[in-house]
Amino acid sequence: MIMEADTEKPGAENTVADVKQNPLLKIENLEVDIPTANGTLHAVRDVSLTLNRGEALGIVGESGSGKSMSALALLGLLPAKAQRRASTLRLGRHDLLSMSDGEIAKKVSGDRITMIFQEPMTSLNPVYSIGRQLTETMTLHGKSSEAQARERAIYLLGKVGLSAAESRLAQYPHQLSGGQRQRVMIAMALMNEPELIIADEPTTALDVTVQAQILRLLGDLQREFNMAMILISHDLGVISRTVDKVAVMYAGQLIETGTVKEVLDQPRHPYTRGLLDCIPEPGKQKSARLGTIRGLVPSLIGETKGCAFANRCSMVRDDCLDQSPPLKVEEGEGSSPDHSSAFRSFRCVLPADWVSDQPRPAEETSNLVNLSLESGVGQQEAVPLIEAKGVSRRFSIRRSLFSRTETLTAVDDVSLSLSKGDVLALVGESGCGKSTLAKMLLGLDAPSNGEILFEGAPLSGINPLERTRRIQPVFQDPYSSLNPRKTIGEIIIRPLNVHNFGEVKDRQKEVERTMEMVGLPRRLFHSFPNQISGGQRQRVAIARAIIMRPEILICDEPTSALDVSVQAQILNLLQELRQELGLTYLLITHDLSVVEYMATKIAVMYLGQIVELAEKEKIFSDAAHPYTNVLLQSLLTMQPGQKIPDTGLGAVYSNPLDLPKGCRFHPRCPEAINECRLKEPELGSLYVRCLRHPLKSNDVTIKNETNFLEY
Amino acid sequence: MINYALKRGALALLVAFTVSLATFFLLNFSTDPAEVIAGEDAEPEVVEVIREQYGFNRPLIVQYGSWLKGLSQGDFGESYYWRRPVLDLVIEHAPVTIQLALMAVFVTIVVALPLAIFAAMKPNSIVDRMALSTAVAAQAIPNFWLGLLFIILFAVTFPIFPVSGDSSFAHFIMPAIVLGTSSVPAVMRLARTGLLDVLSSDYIRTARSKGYRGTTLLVRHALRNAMLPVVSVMAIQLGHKLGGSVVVESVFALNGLGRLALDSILGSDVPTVQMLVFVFALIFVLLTFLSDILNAWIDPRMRLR
Repeated sequence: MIMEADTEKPGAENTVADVKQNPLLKIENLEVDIPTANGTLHAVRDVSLTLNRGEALGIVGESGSGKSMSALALLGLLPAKAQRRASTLRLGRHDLLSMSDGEIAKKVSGDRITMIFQEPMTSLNPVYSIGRQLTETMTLHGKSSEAQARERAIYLLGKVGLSAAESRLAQYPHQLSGGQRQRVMIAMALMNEPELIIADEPTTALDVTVQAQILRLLGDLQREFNMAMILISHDLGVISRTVDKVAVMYAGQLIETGTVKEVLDQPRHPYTRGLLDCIPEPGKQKSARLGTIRGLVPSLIGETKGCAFANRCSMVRDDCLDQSPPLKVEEGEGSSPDHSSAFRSFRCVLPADWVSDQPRPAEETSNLVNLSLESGVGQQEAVPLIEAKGVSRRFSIRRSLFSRTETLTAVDDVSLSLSKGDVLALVGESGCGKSTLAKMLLGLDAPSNGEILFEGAPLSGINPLERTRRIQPVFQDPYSSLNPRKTIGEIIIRPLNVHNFGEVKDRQKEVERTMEMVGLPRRLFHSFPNQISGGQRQRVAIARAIIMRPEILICDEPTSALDVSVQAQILNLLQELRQELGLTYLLITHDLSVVEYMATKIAVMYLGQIVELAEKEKIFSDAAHPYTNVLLQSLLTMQPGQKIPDTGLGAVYSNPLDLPKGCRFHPRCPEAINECRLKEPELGSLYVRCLRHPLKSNDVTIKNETNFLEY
Repeated sequence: MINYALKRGALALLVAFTVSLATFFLLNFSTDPAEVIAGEDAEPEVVEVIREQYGFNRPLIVQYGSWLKGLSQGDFGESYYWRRPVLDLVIEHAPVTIQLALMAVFVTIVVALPLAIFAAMKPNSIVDRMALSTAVAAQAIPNFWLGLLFIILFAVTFPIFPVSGDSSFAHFIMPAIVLGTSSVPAVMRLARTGLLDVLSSDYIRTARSKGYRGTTLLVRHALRNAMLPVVSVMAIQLGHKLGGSVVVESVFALNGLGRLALDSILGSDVPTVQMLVFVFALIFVLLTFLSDILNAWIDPRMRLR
């Protein structure tokens, strides 16, 4: 579609041998230093990579590992004060090292290399139309006329799966959903037919269902246009399905590289190994605990001695502390005989075959001996602990003084119950009403219809002090849910003061006991939240929540702001506390692998309604509702080489203010029949809200209420 | 867009009506117009006659009704002090103020925006620090002092501009600079923070990844977004200036609305004060309305509200 022949673009006539010898991207000894008040931060240390045309490379690592910095260094997009050094930095025939920032901006950035960022909601300029933002990418580089750019924009918008492409050009970003915006970002990245596309966590901010669609699209386009791609992600499931090669980063260094299969199936580095053990995966856990990596990522400020991972490594030896191990290159599937593009490598003193000799790295020993994860069904009591009966919550929305009031039904006729020991996971896409429901169960919001019962009595009748003693929340973001001006001790002791618990001395003791229980060192008592890590903050939030020994914890995405290794620690902690204190959890999350690890029952929400509620095993083995199936298929488990399945989910989003007639899910449902359009399904005997389900609601004479009480 | 404008317009009218109500009642509660007209030493009988004659003995709400009725017919009442129709007075004094206000706002924009852009492009640099400290200094300088300084410097010591009066364009230059300077700090700071916010946003990172740098980046992707708060503040600043600057008009002996307001307040001239307050309020309502429309044109998201 590009009208003029691009004289700058090499490689069109390259032979296969050529490609082997001259990789598209060659990075050698890349270093990025950022001066800070406390000294120099070595964000990227000695990174060398090669990438051929048409290849997809995944860079994996936890936050602060330098994965984004390495990519930004290519485009001259580093923070203002950052310094970049390298011995080679080459893209095709452009020597990026010898080019000034201005030249890179003119010739490479946005033209030969393009980027897709994490936040589709904020990455497009809100005041300019989609069309302008697409076409300027081409006109800026003097590639084409306005009209040609427009034609290509329409072509690409169609390519990325946006309907009515031509009329989209006049739309503004706020008129599109998150998934649609990310599609626009992808189209924008393709405008100049780049040689390399860098996607930095492109789907992290999106719903799982949308994530699968976007990743499929990205992979298809990358192959179709024969571009090289660097996909930066913390999610090994995503990586395993989308790329050919993987580079694992830790503390600014590459610590292991290889093909996806090599790295994920036979990890060489103890860190990679630990990371793989941290991930809850359906069917993987047979042990009760997730693997964890002890300790914290070291500070990257100043000079470091020895292996960066030594302080957290379970296989650590004396020589690890003295010198930084070199990157050992090894023959592998992705390497060529002359080592010029060898890709299988790892940075560890251990021999490559240590894995087969050694048992898996020892996990942190738990002080709990007999940890079973069976659901609380056995000790179920006659009256559920907490119960929602036909609960609805409606909000009146008036856009301005003169428009009429519209009603938004955030939660619609939801019934569920939790018995002691249950872990009920509430899953669904953003905006489905999960958090509104949680708020009502916490007693922080009252239902418009229906009632919430706590041990059989209305929750609204229980006095707030008593209620907060028995039901406590844990929130998603430990960075903003703790008061930055209070010390850890003050935060945790607060509920005791509010409830006037015992003597002052007892309170102090209780805080120490609780801190120990959640694994917080006592020395943090006088620290402030900004002095501790994200995982420790979440431990503080949990300590504060459990100090009054509540019966129910309502956890709203408790680990989604945390790195995987930390997530595993927090999930383990929640499991331990459940056993130790007999807690009941309502777990709100979008992450189905967390659900698989934690939950005993699962409730699936769609547009305010629960469409399916069943035991976890039932959902994972034999889900009844098409939406549940779509969610399960969208879960990207770690399966190197496996394609991302097409869920068949329609991309049409329903407006919650104008719900579709009939079944709410029918516009997107891959299995919808004509009847679904006309009739709204009621809950069936198995708590499934679908007309196609064999046990349709109208076939069952028993009243709904009696049915859900079974759960 | 049209829909949005209509809604905003209706809201503006409602505000104007409320203001007229408040002004009328407050002024009539605080002074007795009959006593003012009669003069300080008048006999009570005389005051009573005047009260009868002007209809001040009617209930306030009736008086308000007849005032509103007059308004709708273009009759704004007659000044007790100058014994002339209030409307004529306002029309006579307005041009001076309008010219001064527009020139002052021009000065503000020409000084504040480039300063803000330089400062935001290199935050914490020498340019930035200088701009900020100038802003602080400008904020601390009283208008009358700067006005007198200008007169001494540029009219007396170096007679470049006329000392006072409003008969030619040259007469307006010094007062406009003085009046405009007073708005520079607020506008400059706001534009600077706005730009810094925008420059650290995700969509600027996107634009940079496309290959935008420097001035092109600023003009094509940052300025429009950063202008939103500035437009609103400029509207208010212009409103203040159109309301007449009592101090600057006095210092430079300009016979504008500020002077008229001062004189009519000193003379307890209720109809004139009432009219002026109403006109000033209308100006504010109108300017806010215009800035809303302008903002909606700049930012498509505003059109939804």
